[in-house]
Amino acid sequence: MLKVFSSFSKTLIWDRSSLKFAIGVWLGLSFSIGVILSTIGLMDGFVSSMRQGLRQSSGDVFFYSRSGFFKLNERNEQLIRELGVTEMTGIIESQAFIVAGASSKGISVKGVDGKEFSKLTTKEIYPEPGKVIIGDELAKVLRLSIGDDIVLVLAKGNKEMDGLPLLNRFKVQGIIDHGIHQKDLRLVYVDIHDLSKLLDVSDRVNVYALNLPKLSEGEPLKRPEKINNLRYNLEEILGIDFRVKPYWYDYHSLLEAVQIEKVTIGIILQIIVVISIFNVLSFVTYLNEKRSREIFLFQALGMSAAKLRKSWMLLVFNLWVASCLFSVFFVYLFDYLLGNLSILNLPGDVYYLGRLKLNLDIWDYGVVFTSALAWLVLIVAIALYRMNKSSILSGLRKEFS
Amino acid sequence: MTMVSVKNLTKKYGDQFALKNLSLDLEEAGQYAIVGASGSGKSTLLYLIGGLDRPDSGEIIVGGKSIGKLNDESLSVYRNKYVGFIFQFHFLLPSINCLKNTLLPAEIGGHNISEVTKRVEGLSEHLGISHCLSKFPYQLSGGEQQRVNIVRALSLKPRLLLCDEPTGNLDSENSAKVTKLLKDLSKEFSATLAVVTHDPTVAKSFTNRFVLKDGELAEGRFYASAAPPLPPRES
Repeated sequence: MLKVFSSFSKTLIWDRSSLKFAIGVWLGLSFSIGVILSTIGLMDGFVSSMRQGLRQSSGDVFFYSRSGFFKLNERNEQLIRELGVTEMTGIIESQAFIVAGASSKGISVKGVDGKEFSKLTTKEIYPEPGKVIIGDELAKVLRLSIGDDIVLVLAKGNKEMDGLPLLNRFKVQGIIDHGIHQKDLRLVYVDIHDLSKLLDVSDRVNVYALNLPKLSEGEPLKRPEKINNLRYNLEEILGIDFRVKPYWYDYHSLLEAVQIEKVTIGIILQIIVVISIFNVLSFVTYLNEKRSREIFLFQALGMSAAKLRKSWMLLVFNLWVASCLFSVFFVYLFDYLLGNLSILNLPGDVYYLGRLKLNLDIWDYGVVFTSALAWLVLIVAIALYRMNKSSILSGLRKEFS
Repeated sequence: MTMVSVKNLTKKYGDQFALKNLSLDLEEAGQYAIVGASGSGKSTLLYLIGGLDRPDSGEIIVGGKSIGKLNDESLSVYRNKYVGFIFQFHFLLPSINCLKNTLLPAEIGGHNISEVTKRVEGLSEHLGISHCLSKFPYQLSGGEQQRVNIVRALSLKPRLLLCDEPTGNLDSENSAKVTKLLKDLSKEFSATLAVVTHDPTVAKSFTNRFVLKDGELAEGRFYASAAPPLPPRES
């Protein structure tokens, strides 16, 4: 069968015009599949980058008390540790203003224990006493660099806002990138002991962040249900005075919207695949007309209608395989352009992420490739069925007409 | 012994009758010319016998079996195994070389390629076209192309050799050579030979002639005589 197919396909696509047509159809289908993959990859990349960025500033789960600052009692800490949690740290969070020269901006200050927080977030954030680490977008907006002086304007705790704002001078120790525009614009890290003293909260904190037990890096991004299980366990331990949230909580509606958008756009973009498949169909029809004499010969020499259909389908299948392979090239090209062309740099005031990277897994490739194949088989099979109705001799008669 | 028996065959294209209630017999290893003016139905008859088309009514019995009752798959096997076609326009595929062209029926039918290659090489030597096998059809002359066409038709030792205007594209000298070659080969292969032609010289060289007019056998122009009996073919 393969030998016959080889002769059959060579016969169909041996002249320049047929070859050019074949290349055009191949590129068209590859591009269409590539566009769908890139769109899905972009959506997944958005979700993945956002989750990664969010996680890098809060761990997998965080909890806070409804009554503000608190100290985790030993019993609860023990129970949490018994869940297998090894990475946990207290954080002091407060709203503040940062003043740099003549500019100022509303920010969120996080007082963290550098050692514990870095272990939790896998991001090197070790604020030294009297120094701050700021997000890179904030550094750009305020034109700050390492070593510059800034002033933090803080309110004094949640319940004790009766005094004047606290103004404290710090030095910029480092500039970090969370991968999320909003976080990079709003987060300032200081040493927890500095913030504790300034706000006069002694050894109390207002947030605890922790990670899922014994999971490899990246896994929590894929397994939100495990994080939810941990949440429920923590809610049982901590009771109703505490609220437990996953790291994506602040952006959960956005992430859900993106998921819905991904499915919707994926379905809508099937249209471009169908259009490309109509190109394939016109290619098949063109060859069937142009090579009617040769096809007649194959049948005259003993090729059955079923074998002829199989050969056509095999030809189309090869076109699909080649298109799928080349679409991967388009995806990589798009990913490269996305990462390197300044025109594709997203405006931070509209998007949460400064730059996007495509994120596609086997499942995405499988769904897109399979749906393209399903359309192809359906449309081409109908066309072949109709073409098959004409007699073997029609090719010969055309030759003599 | 009758190889092909055509009984009351009718074929219409639209409102036009291509063949009207036609009956004739072709003996095993017999050599026949089918003659007639353009549109007389001679090619239609050939293609119906060759299983390339189906009649509207009537029956074609080949080797004791009615080919009208065969399904598409069996009819394809019949065309591949039992029939060798030779066309006026050579019909060699330009994208593959002549050897591959001659092996095409074997590839389509899933036959033993090395065995068929040996036969093809032997036949090519016999026809003086061994040097053509590695060439592409467009590198050959018309006569050479027709010889390659003949080799392809005989590559699977068919029992029926059906030729549609095999000399239509050739000059009189080459035409006579090809006609003689076809006759010799059909004798050598014990194959029934049916040649559709409108060339009187070619037609006259056959003892058995069917003259068709308007889809019917022309009255008084039927010169068919029984072919000399031949021993049954080895399978």
